[in-house]
Amino acid sequence: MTGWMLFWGILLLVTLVLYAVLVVNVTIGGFADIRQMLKKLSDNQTDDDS
Amino acid sequence: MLESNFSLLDWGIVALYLAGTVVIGMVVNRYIVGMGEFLVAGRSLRTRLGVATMIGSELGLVTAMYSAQKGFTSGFAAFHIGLLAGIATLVVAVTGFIVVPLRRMGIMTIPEFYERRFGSRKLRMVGGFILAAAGILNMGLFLKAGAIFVTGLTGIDESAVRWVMTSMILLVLVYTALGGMVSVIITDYAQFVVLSLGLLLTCVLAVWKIGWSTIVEGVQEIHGNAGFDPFDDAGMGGSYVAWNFFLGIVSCAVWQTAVMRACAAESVAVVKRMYAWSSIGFIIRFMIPQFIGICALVFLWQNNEAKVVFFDASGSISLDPEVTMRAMPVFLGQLLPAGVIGLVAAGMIAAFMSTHDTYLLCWASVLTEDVINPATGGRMSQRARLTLTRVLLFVIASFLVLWGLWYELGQDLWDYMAVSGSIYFTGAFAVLIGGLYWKRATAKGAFAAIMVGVFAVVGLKPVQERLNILEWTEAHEITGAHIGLTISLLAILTMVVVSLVTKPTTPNSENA
Repeated sequence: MTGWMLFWGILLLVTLVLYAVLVVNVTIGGFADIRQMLKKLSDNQTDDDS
Repeated sequence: MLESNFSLLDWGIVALYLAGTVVIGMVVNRYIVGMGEFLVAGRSLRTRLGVATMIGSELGLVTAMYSAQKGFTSGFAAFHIGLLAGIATLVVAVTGFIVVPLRRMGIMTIPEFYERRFGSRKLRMVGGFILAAAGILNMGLFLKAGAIFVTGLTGIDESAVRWVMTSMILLVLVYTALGGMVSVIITDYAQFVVLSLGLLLTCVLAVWKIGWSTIVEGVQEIHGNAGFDPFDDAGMGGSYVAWNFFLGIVSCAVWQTAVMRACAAESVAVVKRMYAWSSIGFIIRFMIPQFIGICALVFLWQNNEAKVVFFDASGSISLDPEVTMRAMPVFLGQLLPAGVIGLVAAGMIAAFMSTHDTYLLCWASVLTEDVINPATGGRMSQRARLTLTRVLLFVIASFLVLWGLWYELGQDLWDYMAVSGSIYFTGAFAVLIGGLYWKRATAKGAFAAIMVGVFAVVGLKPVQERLNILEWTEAHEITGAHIGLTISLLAILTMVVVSLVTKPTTPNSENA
């Protein structure tokens, strides 16, 4: 039990830290990606109209 | 039952969030000019937004509910599900297994691949129908899980919740039908941010209030060694672990909603980066809610008022899946203070909507693109297909309301979802591997493999009851995992044998 417990405890801690880093990275970067995506869709629409 | 901390402030936070999602759906509607924008957002998805939307759609309220339930009923041993899912996703990211060739082909749905690879429109239609049927059945209990969550968290009457959930699914329908994939991606992003903050905060608060050593000792007292060792036959066992690794592969490489994300990516490089990052997300989506379920187990075990509800007289966990599913929301209602509980509820309800919008859009588009449009000889106009997809969204949602509220759950929600999904993916896995990596694979082999996969439905307890084999399977300890793994192997074997004895087909040879 002790071996498994240690393994799951470390895995949980590492996961939580990685998750926190991922959330910060994706929150900031994802917002920029949304703007880019909407711009691209908007450009496509303009191309279709012309 | 215990009184929840859910307050008027929390309702306000939830209402504000829901209103915001509808506005997003209406705003992005102007970007939708065709099926390309509606289904795959014009293939304009970039890495970080791709990660947010992939985790956002996969880490739904239902995922949180079934994962927390697994943590509650199995303890720390349940963590292997998330770990294997993460490893499987990383393997797919590194190798590009299945998803990269699919992205290169530029397909929108898996059944579309069937037709292009095997040149059989009938195969596409049959495969599409089975995919959509299994997918709709798979999401059949989402509404019930949502209802149990809202009741447990807020403490409101269950009969009122049915109306709340019905209103929520209508809200999902409105903005999905309006915005398609573009609104799905943006709301997935918002949901990812809100829910992630809520979950991280919950984990910290749970450990702070209960204490790490109390949690470990509690699991040891209730589950013994099986609460830590996933290979312990008193708990999950080796075959269950093997089944979960297979589920990890199919959920990121074969399951239509994940494949849709890969196909919406800007390039193959983005697909690989998206999967590498999402491997962390696939661990998180299981482990964090499972940990909350474990904390709920120890917290409710120590509370005399709750103990009589969640445990039987001998101290064992209740065998009723609907009771064990309620543990996580009841625990959150006790643990979190007013304000924070609203944030978590908004995140969870957003997650509920996010999963629904992704799945509804996915299955409606599969029925349109792979079953109905091919049946008309591909003569439907773009406008007619869009209208049909939107009508199907409402038809599927109506079915979900009926099925979710009346189906009696006979097993853990995760196991129900794995079995119902396997009706499709056991056959599809064989066809994708054969079709992508074996030149000798034939349309008849693919058709036979898909048909064999349908037999995975026998893993559902109510189906076993109808077939009068429930007592036999229980006596021989045959679980859904055994049935799923056996059917998967049989489907691959069928694909190989039938392909070898039938004539290879060339693309589009059967379409004329």
